[in-house]
Amino acid sequence: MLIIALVKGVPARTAKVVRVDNIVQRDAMEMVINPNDETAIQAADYLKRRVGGKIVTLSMGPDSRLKPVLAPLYGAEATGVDEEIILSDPKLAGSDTVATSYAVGHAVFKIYEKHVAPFDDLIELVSGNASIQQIEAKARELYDQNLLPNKVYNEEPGTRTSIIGHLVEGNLSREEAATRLRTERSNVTKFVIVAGIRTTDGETGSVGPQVAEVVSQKMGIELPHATYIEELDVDPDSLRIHAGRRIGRMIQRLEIEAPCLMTFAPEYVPKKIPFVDFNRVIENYYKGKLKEATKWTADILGADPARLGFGGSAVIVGPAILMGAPSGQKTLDKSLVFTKAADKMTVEGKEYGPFKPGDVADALPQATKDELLSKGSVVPFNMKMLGEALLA
Amino acid sequence: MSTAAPATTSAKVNLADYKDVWVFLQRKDGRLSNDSLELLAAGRKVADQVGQKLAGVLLGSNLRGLPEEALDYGADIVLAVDDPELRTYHTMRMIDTLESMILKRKPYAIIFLATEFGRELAARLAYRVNSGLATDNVDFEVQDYFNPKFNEMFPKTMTQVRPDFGSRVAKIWTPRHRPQVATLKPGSFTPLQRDPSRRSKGVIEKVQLPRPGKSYALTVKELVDLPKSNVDLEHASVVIGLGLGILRGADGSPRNPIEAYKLATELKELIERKWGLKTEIGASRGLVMANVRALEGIITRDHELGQTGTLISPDLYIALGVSGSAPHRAGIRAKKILAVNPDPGAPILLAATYAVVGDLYDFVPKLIDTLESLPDKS
Repeated sequence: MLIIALVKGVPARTAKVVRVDNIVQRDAMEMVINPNDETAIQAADYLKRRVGGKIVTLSMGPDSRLKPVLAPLYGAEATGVDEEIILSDPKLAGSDTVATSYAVGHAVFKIYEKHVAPFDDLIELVSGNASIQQIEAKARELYDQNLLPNKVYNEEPGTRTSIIGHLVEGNLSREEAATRLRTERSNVTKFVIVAGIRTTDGETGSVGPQVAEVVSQKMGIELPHATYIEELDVDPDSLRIHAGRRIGRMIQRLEIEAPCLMTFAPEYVPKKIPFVDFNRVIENYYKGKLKEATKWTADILGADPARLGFGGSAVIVGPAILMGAPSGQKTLDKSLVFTKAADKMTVEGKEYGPFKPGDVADALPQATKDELLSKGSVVPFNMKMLGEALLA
Repeated sequence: MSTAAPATTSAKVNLADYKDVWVFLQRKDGRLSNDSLELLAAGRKVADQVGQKLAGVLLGSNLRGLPEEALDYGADIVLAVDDPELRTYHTMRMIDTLESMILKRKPYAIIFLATEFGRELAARLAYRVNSGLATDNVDFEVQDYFNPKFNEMFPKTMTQVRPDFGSRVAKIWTPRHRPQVATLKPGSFTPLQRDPSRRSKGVIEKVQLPRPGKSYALTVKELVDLPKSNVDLEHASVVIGLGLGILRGADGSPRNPIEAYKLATELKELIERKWGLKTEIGASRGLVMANVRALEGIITRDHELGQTGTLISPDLYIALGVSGSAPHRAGIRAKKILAVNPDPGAPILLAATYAVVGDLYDFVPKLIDTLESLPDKS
């Protein structure tokens, strides 16, 4: 099973967002992996351990910033991430969710194509006039590029357990080999896209469902999506997925045929891996991890440039306005409140009041507050006042 | 060579062809959900400002009474698709239905609730109908919008106001595409007064399910109602919310969170005894998700407050050790908020009526003493 995990780099502290010309400058901020995407990686890992296959992460953003953020995904053996792809191009800056989904969806399709094409190449060679040596050389080349599972080709010493291995040994006819390659190809076409329910920066949760729509339109199929998944299981034979999600006060249980897209709620915890035929899972693994993330630019997506980045965005975001505290907020032991009514007053050309007893004086200039305090017109907002006001 | 995108996207939309404001209504316990009534109020505002009709969109099975309720609460038209195939909240089925309705009737805008279900529908549908999406809006305003980059004036465009990176708000426009697709953050509008006299002027239009019997790669196998929770946060007058801050004192030293729970219980009992106000204890998503061993069975998902938990509208909300992330605050619409947090920058303090910068373990006992010392209400 080909598993594509969408991973976003988000600002570590949303309080320090850097913008130029109202476009978020992601390369000027400290980044971390979106915490919800880590949940999705756990789900990807579960699927890979259950049925084999390969996990490819896909990110969009400046590659120089994303590489260090993604690095820990290689480190831990527990996360079976095989490859990382970073979509990095200034042309993608200023994307709204629609333009982001458009680019990401095209990249997903590219990843899918990249993993199906090797089967087509081999099937063509096996069905054509290529020599066995040529076929084996091609298989080795593709295997070394992490594009074929062990089941199709491997270099297990002393044995020839793969389809191409059996073909080389003469245990399999060309026709039989081609048939088995076609079966394996169809397993790759049942790919799964996983993502977190939303990012901690945009918080829209829109990109998942929209990517499913982009891939659907690109492939001419209807690729279903399911969001907020908390329960996940997969049938290793049919590759059918069973998922449960919570909407409101209901649990909805689903059966999904891959290809599909799923987003995972933070409540998701991977199930225990049951006793499975581990050899079968291993057969579906690929050669190994690629140590370095691959950078893709917008040109290789085969996408319409007019639909990328700011220009491809349907929505326009105005400048952010800071929301202040509600007027009349009282801070314990800090705010000053009037002890009796006070008339309207003008200080340095600005008007304040009139004030009722209990009204907060915090907006007044410091000197005025000091004066009022010395006269006893205002007092600090204390515990007793709080207690009295609280349930009044 | 790159493949060209479908021609539909570059074709310019004739904005004037698109009329009426749609709101996607959801139900709860056989009636329109309270959020949906707020959504009708929001839609009413937009429809009045743009000078068009407000249509309530109802998709489901056995909609008895709901279309009439939508008219009472502000809709001019109800577009009702009542079909057993819509019973299971099948997302793809719903999107297909909405898409076909939109292509046929061309609404000016369609607004969903920013709930789990509303979010995913809005997102995928917006892409499918070649439009943009603004999520989690707290307000709408119809204005002529001038964009300096295109050097173009877009008349009567919906200005969508949404929170942006925590403590800010941003205005968002979808000037060149129709329908304008948006989601509304629950708690941002007050439902209109119910007016049954509106019913006679309103129109309920029954819409046929498009492509009945269509099969999908995703099937709903089961739909289970979660048992009713024994915590009645929704109807409490006072809610005490506990957050991850209860795990530590203000100096960073670890505290046993059960102590905070005991303090909250003491405060709850005091308020119930002395003021006769129904009081409940809730928790932030952070605390619920943390699965703290000491709180096992005490703080459960039934206690979860905020956007993903129970939406509350008490007279008083007391936030203890809650930081107040945007999704948390979105689910709280209290008349007064008392927030206790040692971090002066905590967003909850910004939203508070009464802010206490300090340690809840020091503050709550003092508050209890103070409240005890007040004369009895009689």
